[in-house]
Amino acid sequence: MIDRIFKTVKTILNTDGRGNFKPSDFNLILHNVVLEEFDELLFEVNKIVNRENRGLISGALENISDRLREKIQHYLMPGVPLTYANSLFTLPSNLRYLDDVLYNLEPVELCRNNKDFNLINSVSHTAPTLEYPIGLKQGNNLKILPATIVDSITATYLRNPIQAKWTYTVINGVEVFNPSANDYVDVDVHSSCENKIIMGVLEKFGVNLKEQDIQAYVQREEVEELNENNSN
Amino acid sequence: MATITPLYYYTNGQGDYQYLPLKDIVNSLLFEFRQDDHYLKNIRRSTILYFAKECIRTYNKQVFEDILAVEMTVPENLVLPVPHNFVDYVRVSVTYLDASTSSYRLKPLKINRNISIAQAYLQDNNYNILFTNSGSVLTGNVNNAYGAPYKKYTFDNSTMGGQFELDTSKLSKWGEFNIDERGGKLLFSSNLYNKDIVLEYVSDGLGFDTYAEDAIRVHKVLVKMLKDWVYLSCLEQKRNVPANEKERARRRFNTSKHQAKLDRSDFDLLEISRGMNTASKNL
Repeated sequence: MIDRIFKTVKTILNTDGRGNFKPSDFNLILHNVVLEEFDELLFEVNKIVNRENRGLISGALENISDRLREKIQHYLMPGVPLTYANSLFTLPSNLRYLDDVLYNLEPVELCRNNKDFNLINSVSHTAPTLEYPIGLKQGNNLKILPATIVDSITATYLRNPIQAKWTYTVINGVEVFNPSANDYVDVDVHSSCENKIIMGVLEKFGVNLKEQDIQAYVQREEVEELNENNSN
Repeated sequence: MATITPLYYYTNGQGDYQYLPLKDIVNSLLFEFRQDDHYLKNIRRSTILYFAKECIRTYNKQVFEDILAVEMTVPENLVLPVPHNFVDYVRVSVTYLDASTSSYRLKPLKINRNISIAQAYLQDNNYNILFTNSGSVLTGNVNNAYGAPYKKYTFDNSTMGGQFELDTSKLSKWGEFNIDERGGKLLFSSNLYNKDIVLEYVSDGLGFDTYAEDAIRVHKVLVKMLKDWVYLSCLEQKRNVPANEKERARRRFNTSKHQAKLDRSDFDLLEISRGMNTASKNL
């Protein structure tokens, strides 16, 4: 996918007047756009669910919230065992958002903040037990109560998108795509996001190259898409 | 869910079917609330658990009338502890061997508030109250039934009518007891020494929570009412829920509570018919 994105962006941008762009710039901008798209997905699901609740979304395959969730699930890491050290469970380094934590298949209730955590722990009706454990994310660690839980914790989470790299070989002074390079990494997005990523990269390059017509084109496309979404 | 074989049921699991673990109810509520357009879609499990336990505590006696019973032998000091989940007693009886049938009968005991449970404030020679180093009053068992076990009156039936001026309404043929609720003890009269007594009592349904995990079980008759209560309680705290939905939830809970009471009351035509057929019934 990365080469298609690269070529499409190049096709739109690469006129004589605008000059070429460096692959390293492309890789940087691409990753930035992927990260933006990743966070936007969560907001989009909320927006679509609200519309769905008003009866404005079709069912089955056309159910957009389900399709958006599929895109999010591209980053899902299910049931990853956590290691225990110094009274805390260490979370994976590639974690972006924590989805679900289980203790021996029993769900761990993740608390919103420390106040919530302490309150649930102190009320006798809700005090954590092996049946109803609670957890609090503390930096890159997870604190689980009751303290007798020291193993068998698994986390399901959304990982960080992997940074893509368009690798190349220079032939006759021209960069030619080389997917066989050791450091080659394809774009880490759901396949349906390709167009959005292209538009995002173009917008950034429009700013980068100070090309107002490119920026205007991308913004016009975005407004059109927004209007289409809100028209029914 | 675990598969239960008939062998397991007839050897270990009798009576289980009437009950649902509280955990199953909490999970089913989470399942019901999970839809995107549900008022309680973001409700926390701890909140559901809190209200579920509140419901059990509040309505276990009122609706369910779950009477528990234990049998214990009265020791020499005439004091027995109440069970850990004891909330209030229903009846205390002594087991009595009926010689004609060689079987045991329960003979109810009378509560006697004259069996003292008062803790004595310890005093010095000048009648000053004594305190501990931390400033608390020093107490002890002096004249109460802990310090001096209660001896029961013996009846003199040598003359008709028994002992004149004796207030027999305060006496019991089989024995007497008192409850020290704060101390969690039952105190008995001396004639009950070495006798087997049966304590029937009510709990709040949360007793097993003291010791175990997943021990709270709810009778199936109560499940619908409990779910409606949790829904109502969670909903009432929400600012953006319309008042008519709250009112609907309140009425639904009242209906399910009423139904649960009816289901537990064993009120049926057969019982009425039996009552009416009694030959000696004087209406």
